[in-house]
Amino acid sequence: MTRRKSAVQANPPKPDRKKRPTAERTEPRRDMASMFGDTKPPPQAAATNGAAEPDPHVASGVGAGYRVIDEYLRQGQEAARAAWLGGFPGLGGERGRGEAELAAMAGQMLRYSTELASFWTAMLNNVSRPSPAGDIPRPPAPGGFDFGGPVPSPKPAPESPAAAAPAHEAAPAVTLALDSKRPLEVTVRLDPHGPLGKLRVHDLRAASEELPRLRGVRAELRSGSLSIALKVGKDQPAGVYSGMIVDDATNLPAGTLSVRVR
Amino acid sequence: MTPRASSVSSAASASGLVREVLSEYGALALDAVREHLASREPRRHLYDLVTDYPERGGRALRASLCMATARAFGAQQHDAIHTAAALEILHNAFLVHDDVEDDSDERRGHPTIHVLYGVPIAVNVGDALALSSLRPLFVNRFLLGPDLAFRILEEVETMARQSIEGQAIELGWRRDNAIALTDEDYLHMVLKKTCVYTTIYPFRIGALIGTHGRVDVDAFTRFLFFVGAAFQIQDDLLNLIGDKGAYGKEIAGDLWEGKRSLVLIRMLQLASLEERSRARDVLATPRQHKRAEDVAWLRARIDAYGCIDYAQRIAHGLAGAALHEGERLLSILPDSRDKRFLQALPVWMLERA
Repeated sequence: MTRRKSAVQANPPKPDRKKRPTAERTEPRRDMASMFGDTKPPPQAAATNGAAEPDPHVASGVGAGYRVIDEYLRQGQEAARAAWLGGFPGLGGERGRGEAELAAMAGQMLRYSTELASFWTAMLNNVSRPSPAGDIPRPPAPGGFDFGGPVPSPKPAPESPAAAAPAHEAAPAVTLALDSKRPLEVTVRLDPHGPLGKLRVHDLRAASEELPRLRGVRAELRSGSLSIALKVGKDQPAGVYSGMIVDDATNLPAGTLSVRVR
Repeated sequence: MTPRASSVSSAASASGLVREVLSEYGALALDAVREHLASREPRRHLYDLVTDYPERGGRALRASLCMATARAFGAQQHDAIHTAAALEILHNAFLVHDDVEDDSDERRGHPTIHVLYGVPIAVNVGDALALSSLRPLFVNRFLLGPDLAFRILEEVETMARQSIEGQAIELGWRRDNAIALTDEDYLHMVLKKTCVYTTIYPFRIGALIGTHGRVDVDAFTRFLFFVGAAFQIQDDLLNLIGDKGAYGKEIAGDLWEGKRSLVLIRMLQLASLEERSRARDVLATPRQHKRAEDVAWLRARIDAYGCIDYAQRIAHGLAGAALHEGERLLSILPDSRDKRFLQALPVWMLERA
């Protein structure tokens, strides 16, 4: 045992009270000199220029950058606060945003309930009245609008028993012309308020971009009936392929087409 | 390997990754742009010209940043592709109008639209592109649901409005022949004109898509501002010292157009009274009446005062600030190629030719 150690044992010191170390800083670091920390190497951007030590011009430029972006953020927060307190133009003028939104939502609820009531009335009329053989009357669209014309009775797709479109009272009948040796499952969703002109189908894509797309899909809306022609090669990998159906003239979306290749 | 050699090597690999992602997402975005810019009549004076700039092969930075951010935050690729196409189409609309406003001769290695077809046609083509950028956003109603689709529409509106405000600041400087500008004035203009629609909003929108609107996108604004500001200063530098083939625009075109770049602002700050007076006259002269020797004189003064080196240092400083800000923010994301792309952007901004 050394002389020093025995001295320590003879007079054990009173253990120091643990204290939180004094913080190196009380504000965020926004100056160039301490930006990259004390222990970490300088960032690659600085290293590529061989500028390990930032010069005063750089510090001044970065400082100006922080002032500009902090002012931008402050103005953004103020604008958001003002919009919240002052309301939006067209949504109640000088009333508060909360009040204006409540008024808008109340109006929306009233419209929806009116539309729902008219829709139910039309449905009950249809159910209680025997329809003539063949076509059934089209229920009015939400809002009470009726675009006219009878809706053909839903018929099973003749070409492929595997193919089926979702049933929807207001949707047109769907005819599928499939050229495929692979089992397919086809799902068509049409926007009831979408355009009803000449249609075009975007290439159908799988989730993985590596899988080849299904190209050359055609859609045609004629006399209220939607025809879709689709060819799937025998080498097409299994998967779900989806794409948009759009109005050819305006490119506005009319619905989606999804094909599951098994 | 020495620390310097190691950092240079990793910087090179980071830039390689950015180029790879830009190439891949850029091609996907261009496919989507083609889908949304379907050709129809009138072709000759409108729709054939609408696809001209997109087909010239830009790097699709904004579209790629949106897609990479969306994927880094967990989205599928197809969730972001239509929004990315919208950003790319809007960017091309801005380019067509910018070229008219600046009276630029070349874009992506070819004559500008207004040089080829005249100003009235070019303005109309720009209008068509700007309006067409809305169409891909309508698809989001099906892909992302009405609430998020509307949120994205709001973000795009804010982005476009602020960009136009930034452009107004720069055009106003030229209109008023502003001479006494500061670095802070320049950075404020760049924030609105460039950063908002090049980095800040493409990232914000991608993050909203990836999280379905459940992320505080404001937290990333500082990081994205520094990335965008470094990008713009580097772009200004390439205009003076870049390789014409790679740059795709007229070298020193900014001086001919009287653009207030950081380099020019620095030169005006350091110039003597006599030099500043001559520079004011040169900058006030419309492009078509400017003399080559006057532009050469401006360029020589820029070199004499070391303004290129100054701007390079500021760009490096801003990229360093971007790395600093991004390090903590991006650490919340799981590791992925898209995350590494976002981390590498500040370095790539400086290294691109």
